[in-house]
Amino acid sequence: MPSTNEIDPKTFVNQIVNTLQNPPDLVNHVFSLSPHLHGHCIFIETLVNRQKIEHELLHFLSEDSLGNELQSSHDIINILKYRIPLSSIKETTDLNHCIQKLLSGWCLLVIEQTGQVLLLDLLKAPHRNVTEPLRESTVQGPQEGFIESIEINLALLRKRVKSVHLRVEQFIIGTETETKVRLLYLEHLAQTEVVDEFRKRIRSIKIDSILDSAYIEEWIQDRTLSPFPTLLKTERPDVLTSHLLEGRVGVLVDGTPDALMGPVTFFQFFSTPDDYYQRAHIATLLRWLRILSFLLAILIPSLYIAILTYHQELLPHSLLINLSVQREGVPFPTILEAVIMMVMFEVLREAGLRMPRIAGQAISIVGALVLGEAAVAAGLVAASMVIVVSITAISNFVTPSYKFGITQRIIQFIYMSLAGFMGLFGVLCGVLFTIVHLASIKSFGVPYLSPLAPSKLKDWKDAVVRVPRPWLDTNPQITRKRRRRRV
Amino acid sequence: METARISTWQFFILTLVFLLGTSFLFFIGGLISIAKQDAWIPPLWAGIASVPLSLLWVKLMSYYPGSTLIQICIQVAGKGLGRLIALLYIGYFIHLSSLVTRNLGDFMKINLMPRTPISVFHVMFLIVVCYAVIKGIETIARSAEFLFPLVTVTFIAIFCIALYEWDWERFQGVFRMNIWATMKETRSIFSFPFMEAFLLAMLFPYVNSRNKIKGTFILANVVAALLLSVGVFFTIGVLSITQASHETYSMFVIVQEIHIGNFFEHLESTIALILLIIVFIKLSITYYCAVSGLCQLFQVKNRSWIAISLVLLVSGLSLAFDNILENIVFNREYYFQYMLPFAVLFPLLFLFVTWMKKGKAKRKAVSPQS
Amino acid sequence: MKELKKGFMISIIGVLLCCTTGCWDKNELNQLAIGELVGADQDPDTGKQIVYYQIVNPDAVAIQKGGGIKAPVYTYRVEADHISELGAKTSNLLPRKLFSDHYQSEIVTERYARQGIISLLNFFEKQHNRRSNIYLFITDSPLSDVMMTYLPLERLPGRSLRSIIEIQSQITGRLSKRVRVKDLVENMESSKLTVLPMISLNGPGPSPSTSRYEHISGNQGNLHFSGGAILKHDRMIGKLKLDQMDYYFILKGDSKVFMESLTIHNHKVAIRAVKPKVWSHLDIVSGEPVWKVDIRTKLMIVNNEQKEDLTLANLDIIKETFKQQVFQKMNEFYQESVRQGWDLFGLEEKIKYQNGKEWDLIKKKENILGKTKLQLSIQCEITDIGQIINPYTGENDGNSSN
Repeated sequence: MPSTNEIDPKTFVNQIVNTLQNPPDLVNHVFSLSPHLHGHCIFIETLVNRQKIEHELLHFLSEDSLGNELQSSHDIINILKYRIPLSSIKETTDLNHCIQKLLSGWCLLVIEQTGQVLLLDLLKAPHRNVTEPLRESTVQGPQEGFIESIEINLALLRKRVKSVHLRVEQFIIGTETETKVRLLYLEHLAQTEVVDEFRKRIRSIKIDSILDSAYIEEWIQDRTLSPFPTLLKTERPDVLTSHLLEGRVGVLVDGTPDALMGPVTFFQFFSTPDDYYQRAHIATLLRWLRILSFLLAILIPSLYIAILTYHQELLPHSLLINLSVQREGVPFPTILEAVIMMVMFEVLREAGLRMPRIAGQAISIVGALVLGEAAVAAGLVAASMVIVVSITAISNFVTPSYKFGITQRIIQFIYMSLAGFMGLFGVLCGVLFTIVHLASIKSFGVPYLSPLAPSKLKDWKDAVVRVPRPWLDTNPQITRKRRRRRV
Repeated sequence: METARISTWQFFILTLVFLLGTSFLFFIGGLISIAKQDAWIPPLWAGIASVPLSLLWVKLMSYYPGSTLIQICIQVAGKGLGRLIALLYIGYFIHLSSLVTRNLGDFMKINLMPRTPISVFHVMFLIVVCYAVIKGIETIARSAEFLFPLVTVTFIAIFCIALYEWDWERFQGVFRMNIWATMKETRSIFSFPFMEAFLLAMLFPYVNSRNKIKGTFILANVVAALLLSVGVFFTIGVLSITQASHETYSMFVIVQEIHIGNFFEHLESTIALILLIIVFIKLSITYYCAVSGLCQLFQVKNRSWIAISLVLLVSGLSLAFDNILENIVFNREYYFQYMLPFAVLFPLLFLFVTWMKKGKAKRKAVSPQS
Repeated sequence: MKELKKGFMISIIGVLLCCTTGCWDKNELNQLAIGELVGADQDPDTGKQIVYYQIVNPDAVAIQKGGGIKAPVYTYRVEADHISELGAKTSNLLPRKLFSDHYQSEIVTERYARQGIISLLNFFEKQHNRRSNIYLFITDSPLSDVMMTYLPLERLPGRSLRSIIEIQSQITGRLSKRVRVKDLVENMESSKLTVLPMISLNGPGPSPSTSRYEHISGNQGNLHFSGGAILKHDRMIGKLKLDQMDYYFILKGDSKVFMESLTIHNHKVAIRAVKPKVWSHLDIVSGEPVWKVDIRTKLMIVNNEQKEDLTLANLDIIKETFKQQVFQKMNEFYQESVRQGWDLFGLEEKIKYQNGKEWDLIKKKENILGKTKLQLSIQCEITDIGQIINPYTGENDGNSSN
């Protein structure tokens, strides 16, 4: 042992206590290994497994046999290191490192006469049990969800993938929170460039705190300003597993049940885990239904405005007459009417999200009655407008990804204003702009619109349709240049 | 120059859509008014004639792999003269963009929104195009690839529904044209769209596999000629010569009159707008060529500012014609002559100079040894 | 940061753009006067254009919210010196913008049609929001009466007329759907004639009040289909009677059904020909042009008043009678039209496009149409004989003697 690095136990303990300003949950337990050999066991009692410390560690340290052995030896640290019945033990002399570890639930053993500190991992942070994923519920299939502990999450994943190729890389990010971020991929499947890109982007994060994977996402996504997400989020271990097995890269963040995955393409936002747990036919049809409702959600309000104010000839004759009766006496222009209703709906939805659940019923009654019937009865809005808003709202909820739902809402308002200004031509310009934008996005080097553009016919079998499992025998080309059979 | 790669299929779509882009929507009526029942033949011979022309361009480009037309100008004709010719080319690209823009504006103004000032259509559309151009040729190619099926399905749907109106009697009197007179009259179909296709030489360096360029390009030309011919044939059968030759936009009239039962009628604004997508792709290509040409000529790294400022220039230039009639007359009378130097003379000249240079180099290489 | 700047620029441009575009073509639904039927007339003495617009009153037509019957349409009459002034004159009168995209039908008076309606057609076709596939009618009743009458049942007159065409083309074959503005325009530059439906007003006069909806008689003041108007280019030159219409349409090949009533052994038998297929071509027989028409059809017995059982022999008789009668009537119709000099089937034009030396000789002759003969061949089979095979004879004895 180099003597220069050695520490003086007394001052060291004082330094630690002073740095942390002696918080109430800091325990500095002094024990003796043998009559002449004392040690400090320092830990933060709210973070560690106290039982383990008391029953296993301290019990072991107070054993006579150990004391005897230590007395006769000079290499106390090494003996302790190998004898203590705990698996993660490190030695150090660095004060800052010790404090870091102390704050992440490790226990410090400072033994006099040694000049070294032993670090023992005894973390027992409170976390909830593994429950079913509430935000991504499926009808069939596994019902386990990630929780806020990265260790448990990794366990859930490891339980599913027993491949020797699974790689886990850890990064500590956040100057204050020091959050564990883990990069997961299957080495033989994931494209090296993509993994490198992930690594590079994660390393480039400069932030003080990471409280959720969204923090990471905003740093590593491809286009900061695009409303379209370029990373997939999930709280289902089975989803993460399936994506890893297709050659994508996953990111687990400590303290959040949401894992990130990339690269992702546009059409993946329309697939749900249920697609793979049901028969292929219904999965395909449901996928089309979701795409349809996506189109409905973004286009219906704008088309309604455009047709009613610019292209009335598109309406069938009797519908035109009916609608014009409804509009009779409505004071606002259609565009304003639509914006009012849509904004009111957004307000209602936001209120519903933030309200305590008990008050939710009140909201829905007020919303349904006031916005629906009373507004029409009072002649503020046309009845057809209420139908349009409802169709839009319902279709909006069909999207499996919540993030994508937000995207839809943003686009829908832009289209509405374009329709109000230029009718269908405005909507066309908006749609073309969106498509150009989608075509320009790449998620970690993979074009967002693939496998449609650039077209990879072989990948259509799990994008446009979902073919039965036996035919789904190749990994998507988009993530791996070298085609691999699934075996 | 951008480091971009487009696949052969994307290149095929771009070429095809470029050729059909405006001609499919705006040209059919004029052709029918000249050639009557036989109007479906001129596109065919124009298509055939376009093959040797395409070979000329492909040949020229194959001597300079990896260079665009603008760079070839400078390489062949030297810094001074070459830059001047390149500038002429760019001027043409900008002019073509403004023509396409104007076509679109006229279409919207005449058919759908007569009270809206035409510049509004121009500027709105150009902004979207400008965005696409800033994002680069890969984005344009991918958008085209994505939109192509949609447009194809729409066209097929229109054809199927409108077949209800089909009447063979409208073809009586076919094959009785005066071939030379008609050919002379319809030479504009050769210049527009087939001669315009030399513009795609700007995209040759981006294509993934070089040896497939020739085949793809010629195939796209042939397919475009066939489709154009089918389009004209269809218009005659569905709309009759009398009506088609009087209409400014015969395709629009067909769309205007299709109906599914008595419920879905008057669908023209939706369908016509979907058809405008091909104009969008064509405009994106021409605009991209103008912008990237300028970038290459003046060695500008960032396309954005050139692209944005060109919006003003192009939308201004597109107002050069007062009305659509001037545009049609220009197309019919002068466009062929106007295109001739760009599409034929300069490429021939370049090819000739290249051969000369090669010969010289060979002789030089041979003579010291002997 | 750079991307942020760019995005910011783009959104600024977008906002500016939205400000620069106005809403020039914007119309709220309740600013529109939904035109439904339009009638045009020209005073032969003064040359003044008179146009009637029927504007839908949506409140009365849409789903009734209680309340009694209200006027489904209002008719506006506009008179102008020239057709191009109509627009300005209309806006003097109408409190809303005239929405012409949904015109269901258009009516022109006979006297106007006889003067030629080319200016009307040109004006109509120049409008960006016109539909050349709306049905065109000629009326021989005064236009003011036709436009000022409420029709029962299908309460929008324009749509009522449209349904007449659609029903006639399906049930009697006396009209085809090809009687649109489009079809008239198509023959504008050829020698082919166009036949358009004629409508007339029933009864002594129009019923211009909604009280007529409370009256049981549907006929009173109703519009009915009364024959065909023959137009050469834009000018009306003659009329077809109602019972000539079906022969016209079947010879033209536009017909979907065809009704014929036969007399066999002094008993009536009614036949409906279903989806007749018609092939026609020109030929030369001994130096004269001959128009060969080949009709193949399936027959359906609609009514049989014979006192005998339906046997195969009887069916043959019916078939033969049908053939003979149709043959004779069609020939009569054709002769009649040729005598009048009506080129209803575009034969002159067809002859013009024939190739060959013999045809060149024929082309030089005068009055080609008059020399063209009709050679008709009819083939038919009876495929449908109705619910009962043998008609009830009404004889006392249960045993049929024959």
